[in-house]
Amino acid sequence: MKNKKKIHVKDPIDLEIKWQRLVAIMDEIDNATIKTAFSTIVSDSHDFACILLDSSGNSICQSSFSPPDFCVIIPSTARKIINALGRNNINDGDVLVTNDPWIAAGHLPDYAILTPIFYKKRLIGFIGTIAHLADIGGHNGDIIANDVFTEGLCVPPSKLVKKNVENNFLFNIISSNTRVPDLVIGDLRAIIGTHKLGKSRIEEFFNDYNINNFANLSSIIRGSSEDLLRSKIYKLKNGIYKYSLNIDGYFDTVNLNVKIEISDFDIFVDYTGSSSQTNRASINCVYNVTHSSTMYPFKCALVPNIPNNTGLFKPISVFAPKGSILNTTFPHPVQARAKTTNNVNQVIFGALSDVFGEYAQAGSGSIWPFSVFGTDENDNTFSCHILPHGGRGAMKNMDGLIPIAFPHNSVVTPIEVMELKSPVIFEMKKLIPNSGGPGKYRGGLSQQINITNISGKTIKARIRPDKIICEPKGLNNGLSGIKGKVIYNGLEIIEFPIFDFKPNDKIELILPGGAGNGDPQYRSKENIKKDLELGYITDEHYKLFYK
Amino acid sequence: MIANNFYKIGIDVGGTFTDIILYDQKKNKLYEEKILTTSSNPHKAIIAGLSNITNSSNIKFLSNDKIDVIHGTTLFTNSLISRTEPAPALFVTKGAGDIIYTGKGNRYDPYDRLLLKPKVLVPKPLRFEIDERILIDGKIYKEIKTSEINRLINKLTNLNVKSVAIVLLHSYKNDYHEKLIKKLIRGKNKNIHISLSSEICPEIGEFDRLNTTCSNAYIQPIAENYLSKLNNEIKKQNINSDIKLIWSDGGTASLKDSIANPIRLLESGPAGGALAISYLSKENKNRNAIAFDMGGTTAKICLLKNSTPYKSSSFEFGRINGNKPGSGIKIKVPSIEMLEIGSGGGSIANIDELGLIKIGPNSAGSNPGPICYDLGGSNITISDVNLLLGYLSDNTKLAGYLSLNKVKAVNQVKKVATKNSYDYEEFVKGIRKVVNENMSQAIKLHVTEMGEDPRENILYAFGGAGPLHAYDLCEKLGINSFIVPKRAGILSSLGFLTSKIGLEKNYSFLKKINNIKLSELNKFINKSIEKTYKFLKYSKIDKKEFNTEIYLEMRYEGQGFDLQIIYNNKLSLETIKDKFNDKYKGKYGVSLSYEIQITSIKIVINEKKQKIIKDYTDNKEVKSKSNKRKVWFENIDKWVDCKIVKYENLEVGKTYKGPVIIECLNTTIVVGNKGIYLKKTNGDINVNIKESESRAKKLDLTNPINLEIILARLKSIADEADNILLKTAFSSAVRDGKDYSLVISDQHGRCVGMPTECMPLFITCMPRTISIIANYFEGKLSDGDIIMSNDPWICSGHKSDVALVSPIFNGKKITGFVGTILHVADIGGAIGDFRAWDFYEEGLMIPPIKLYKSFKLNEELIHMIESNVRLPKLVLGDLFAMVSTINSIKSSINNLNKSISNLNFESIANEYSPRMKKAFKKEIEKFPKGSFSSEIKVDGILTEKEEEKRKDIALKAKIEIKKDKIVVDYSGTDKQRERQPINVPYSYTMADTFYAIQYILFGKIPNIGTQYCPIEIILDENSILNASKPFPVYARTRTGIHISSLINNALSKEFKDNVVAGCGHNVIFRAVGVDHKNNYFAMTFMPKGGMGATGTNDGLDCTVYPTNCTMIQTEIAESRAPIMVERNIAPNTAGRGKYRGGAGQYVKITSLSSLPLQFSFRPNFVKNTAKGLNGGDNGGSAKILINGKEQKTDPVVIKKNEYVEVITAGGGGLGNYKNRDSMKKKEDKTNKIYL
Repeated sequence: MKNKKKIHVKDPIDLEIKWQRLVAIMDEIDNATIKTAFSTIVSDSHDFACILLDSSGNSICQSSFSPPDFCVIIPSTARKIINALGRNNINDGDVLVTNDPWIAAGHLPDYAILTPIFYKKRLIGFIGTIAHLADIGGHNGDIIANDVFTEGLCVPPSKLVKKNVENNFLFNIISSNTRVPDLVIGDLRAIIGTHKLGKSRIEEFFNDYNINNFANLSSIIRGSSEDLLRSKIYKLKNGIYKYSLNIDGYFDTVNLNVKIEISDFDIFVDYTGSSSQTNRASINCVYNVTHSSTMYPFKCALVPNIPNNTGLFKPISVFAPKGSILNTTFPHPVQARAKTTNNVNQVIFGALSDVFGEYAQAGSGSIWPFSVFGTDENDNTFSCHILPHGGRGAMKNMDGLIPIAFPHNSVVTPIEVMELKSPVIFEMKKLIPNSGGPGKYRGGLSQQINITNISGKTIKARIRPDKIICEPKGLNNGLSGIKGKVIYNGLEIIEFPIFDFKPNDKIELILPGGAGNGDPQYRSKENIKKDLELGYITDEHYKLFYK
Repeated sequence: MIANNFYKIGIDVGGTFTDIILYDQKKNKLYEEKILTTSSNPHKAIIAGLSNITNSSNIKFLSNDKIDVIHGTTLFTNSLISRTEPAPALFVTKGAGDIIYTGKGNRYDPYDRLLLKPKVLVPKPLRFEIDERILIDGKIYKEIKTSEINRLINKLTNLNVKSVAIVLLHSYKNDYHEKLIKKLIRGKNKNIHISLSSEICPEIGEFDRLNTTCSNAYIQPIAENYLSKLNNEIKKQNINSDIKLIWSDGGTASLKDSIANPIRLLESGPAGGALAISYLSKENKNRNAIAFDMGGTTAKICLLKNSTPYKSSSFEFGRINGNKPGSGIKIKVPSIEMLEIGSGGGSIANIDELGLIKIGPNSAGSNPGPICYDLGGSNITISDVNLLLGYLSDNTKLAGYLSLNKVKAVNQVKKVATKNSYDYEEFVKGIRKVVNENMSQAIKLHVTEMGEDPRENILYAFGGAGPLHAYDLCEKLGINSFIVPKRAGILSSLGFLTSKIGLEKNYSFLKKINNIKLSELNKFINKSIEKTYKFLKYSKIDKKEFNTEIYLEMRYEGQGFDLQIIYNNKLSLETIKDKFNDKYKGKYGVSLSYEIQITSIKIVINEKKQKIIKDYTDNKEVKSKSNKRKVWFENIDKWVDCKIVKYENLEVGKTYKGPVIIECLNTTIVVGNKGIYLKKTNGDINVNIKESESRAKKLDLTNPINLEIILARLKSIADEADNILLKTAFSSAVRDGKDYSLVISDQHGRCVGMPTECMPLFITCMPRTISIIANYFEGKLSDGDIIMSNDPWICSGHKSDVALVSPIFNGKKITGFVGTILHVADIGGAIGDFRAWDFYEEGLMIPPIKLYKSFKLNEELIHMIESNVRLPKLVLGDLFAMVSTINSIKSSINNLNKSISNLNFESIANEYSPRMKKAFKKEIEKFPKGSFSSEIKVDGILTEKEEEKRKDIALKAKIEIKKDKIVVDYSGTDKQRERQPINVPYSYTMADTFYAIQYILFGKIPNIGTQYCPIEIILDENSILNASKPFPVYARTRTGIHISSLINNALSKEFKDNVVAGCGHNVIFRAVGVDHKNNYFAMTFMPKGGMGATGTNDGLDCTVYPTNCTMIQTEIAESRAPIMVERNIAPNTAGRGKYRGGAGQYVKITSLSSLPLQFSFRPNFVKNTAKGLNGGDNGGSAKILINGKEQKTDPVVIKKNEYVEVITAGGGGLGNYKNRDSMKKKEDKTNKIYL
């Protein structure tokens, strides 16, 4: 479908003021969530998003720090919840909830909580939060799973609060099915509370501006965003672009295959040909997360400054065949879907490296969630994790950054905090020379982290590495970054169930390096010299790739 | 040639008597003759009897007379039971050779220590396994090799085998291989008898098909021999036509058809009785009737609707343990549905451990017989009681020859009464009351199970004792008339005269109604009709003279029982569905929106013509001379000076008033004060009972007789509910494994009623669950609430066991609870028994929550379950089956409230409690006092941690027998284990402890929950037998089953004869995957290990203890999953000893799926095998092999054509092997228990 219709914004200043006010309200909710949440994954890791929706479930805006993927997902989640419960059954004072991966954010820990906003007795919109809660029972996030039932409690679209009265039944079931009921119930109550706050703020907003609903505002915001994106797409070169990439998967290598058609104002992304879903590991993606992972590189490349809203999703259609790893069917396991989604941006960039120009980015080393938990020598339970990254891929005109999050945006826990909270020491955390893929612009260096259990007790540890089989791929004749490696007491390991981290055991994490962009022979002498000076590359490496 | 005269002759040969009846059409007269059976040459008595009749009636058969001879006999049943004939050979698919012996692997009575199983029909040396294979869809997977068959046929000749049964897997779908073997055998041996399972019983389920086909093969030689000889002898009597035979379903068939299918003749005797009642009820225009036949050892009940007896697709013969269902061999051929209960005139009345009166199933028989027979009998029987209460007389000879000794009876009964502190007269009356209660409850249960109301029926009473009890039964059941047929003495042969040629046959169809076209169904039906007519190829059938009825056997896909609807080709598929749904709803209260399956088509063909036999009786001049004697009547609880009359002296057509005792030659008819009786022209006695207002009675529960009566009533209520659960449940664990239970309790959770058959474990857990839930919701319950929970610490130890508990209200007061517990097919969570590392990984946890709140369903809970289990249809289907069950119990109790005004469960429990305690105390007093200890090591499990791999678990028990209680102290037992779901919550430890102790020490005291038993348990905190949250518990049975072994070990020295050596239990394993239709499946296998030897018997082979679940049949398993199953007895696994342990089992499963299948195992006894006791050897170990190699990881994924093999552990022996009987040693060798 081609769309050239243009929305005329009558009063851009008025729009900007209202829009910013709404964003501010969402930021306030966001802040309140951090302040009132119980679990660290919500408060410290900021693994949640707050979004404002109109009465049809279109997103209007979100808090500034909301993770991009959740923002893309929540409108579709909202529509599905509304359908499941029936629009007429939604009352003022209700709070709706689900964590169904096929409705919400693709795995069970992500709860979608939706509070309807009534103004003058009419349903005018929703405040939605998607938050990663501390525990949902099941098998504790293990990557090996045969189906979603193994992965924990699934709450179908339900009412968490009915006309301002808590649904005891649901609270009872949820708390009976989690290892940390205080944290989970605490977080749910916190979110219910922030939505209450949001509702009164929205009411004030309506009173202040003397409007009765979002309909007009929503369509203007969505319309202008859509127009903007379409105008950017129109500037891209029409054509069909293909790319295929092997990624680690688990047990079996997974292939992601894409065909992107740019046609005037529209983009069609088609993942036909990608690997089938698996029932051996939980790396399957529901359509929702494939959609949001696909949107992300486009947004970064085309409209990085516009707040997310439903209007931005319209010009880009995404298709993945049912039953493929990018559109998995119930009840396939989905817990570790990030193992796959983290690589979606790479195929998009790969296909559109010419088209995106300077925005195209070579393959990055992924995030490697690592956690230790158990009881310390005083029998106190502890659990903490870090999220180290590999090197980032190089851009067309820029070397890849040293270890930094992409496409994730989580924070790395400081060593000192880790060592405070758990009986381990970090014997090493340093950059690895030569790890970035050679190229006109070099891939970002990755790091090596060595961790040792210095307590007298066996504790448990979990590592979820990536790109230990398929290295990050370069663009435009740039070369790959190094593959990752996990070395446990001197031996390389390739399977990663939760394992016993015994006293004096040592684990070495060698993260993958970012890939290069452009032929290495065109790398500037100056940059090479600088790399040699900084020790980013060695002489040998230089001789091998740049001479 | 025009027939001169027409005669019909009915011949019924029983074990004792041969009955002959002759009908002369010209004279319109019946003649009868009873003569002793000549067992070695049965035809001799027949010929002699026949000439007696012809002589006395001056009948001479002429060559142009048309004479029909119809014969029925129990001779074949008797020879099958006594096994006097040589066994047949069996040709069977490789890997299914031992199934006829190993069966389903459960025990029909979970409390009988010395339980035996029926003798196998074909012993091991005669079972030949053929290397061929047909798959579920009928495709040949492995071709048969002619050379192999020929080699085996040569072997047969040397073995001197007279008949062969051929039973190949899935032959009901494709009979090519069976027919080929038959052809090859025929080619070499013209005389041998051959039975094909695809002809005898073409239905899925190899176990029943094996027994049915082998039974047929077993009797075929004698059937041919006897029937042809009889036919020849009959022909010598100037009778031209061949004899005809009555089949178990009541139809007649030709001699040749019967010789080919003698299995169809087994129940022909009782069928004759039902046919006679069918005929009489049609004559009398009372179309709905209950036939009640009470003889010397049992009473039989048969229900007729529209004068047609209800049919059943199977029956059991040769029950070896009293009349216990399951202790016989099940035969899958259509027969007339009959309920047999163990109360006859000779049934023995006992006082049980609780001081309550129990009747049967044992019988004094005819020798020594009742006390009053004065033949040396000392057990009180029903006949004695009937004599003492005045129903029988010591002045009249029983059956014309047997005089009764009243003095002896009085003395002996007084002795027993005094010994048990009963008042003599109360005791005698009590026995009669209890037997009447038992029979009326059984009748009620049977009739209501068929969906009928007993009050809308007329009762036909016959058999020696039937008419003695008919009046009381009618009173109790609200039936207002009964009939005693004139020819009650030879009723079966009379029935034969009325029979028609007919046949009933089932054909497996197994298709979802939504997936078929009407034309396809009709095509199948037409083919089946053709086959049915062809089946009676020798009976010279002209189709025009026959009715053909078609029935569809249907169920909701996944259920285990069918409902039947009549089909005609005018019905559309939609109406078929509607009819089924309506019928289901009518029966079970709900209908479901599940897929409906047509499982099989039943074809019934019947001759159209009705044979008319007119009977009449001479109306003699009546000399109204009558006696009087004192008779006690139950309904008015009074002794009455009662009129006694002779049957012959009653005037035809005249109405008399009760009370009266009518003495006939073969029976005595009792009519109470409300009865009006009449002798009809055909000689039948018709009794009408004036209706009286039924009023709520008050029951004095301190009277043990009343207590027994009310307990019997509650048991029958529970049985009725149990039936509903069984029939409406979806998962096979529930149906085949009876992995559920239900309990009626007082408001404190003390059990007052439970079904006859139930899972011991759950019965022990349930009362505790009820009381915890009752406390939890105290003051918050209202009528129509049903609470649900699967909390392992509240219910029975793991989340798969889901409990429903519902309060019973009387007015506004809670008077009790009904609770049911059931093992659901899935509860989400980790796949594989040992995957879960903590409690949270084990699936959905439901804390006590209301599933129904004042009759309103909690939809949210249903959605929650739907969202969290893999098989929501199965799980919710089972859940609603439980709800139906609870509702049925509640409505039955409501009805009971109407007839007993002071029904109070609390006072029942209060009465019960001291009796139970006293009974336990009495036993404990006999035991040596002291403390007995034992410590055993059992296998840990395969974990990912190398150093903990199968690390042994140490279990410790000290059993102290004190003066009035038993204390079991498990202190010192290993601690609970992290990440190993083999920890046992208290509820389960408690249940297994009680069960083991009950089994060893208190076998006679009923298990009705722990609150009544003086057993104390001491456990360390955090012991593996006292697991705490969040330790994983899913496979708690894995550890829990050893409790029994631990206790047996401790008591082995002091209770030598009572203990059971270690049992191999089973290796539970599960396959998960996607089938060829892309449906998800999960299937659990429970191949059985051997049981331990007992103090007096060998351990049973391939039988499970202490749990009691069944092993799924090969054909059924293959119909649900893309796999191929082979299984046999595992040689050399049985522990040697004076009494050997039972042998384990070998199972091989090959994947036929193009997608990977995942298996996870719960092995046990791999390292630490089942213990022998008192000098006996330990049993052999269990093994798991993957593609021939030892299992290294769990779970295991296998690809197409790869296989897993499991060998279960053998049971331990008891006593030194040196002392083993040499015959038995030899038998072990022939049966290949040891190689």
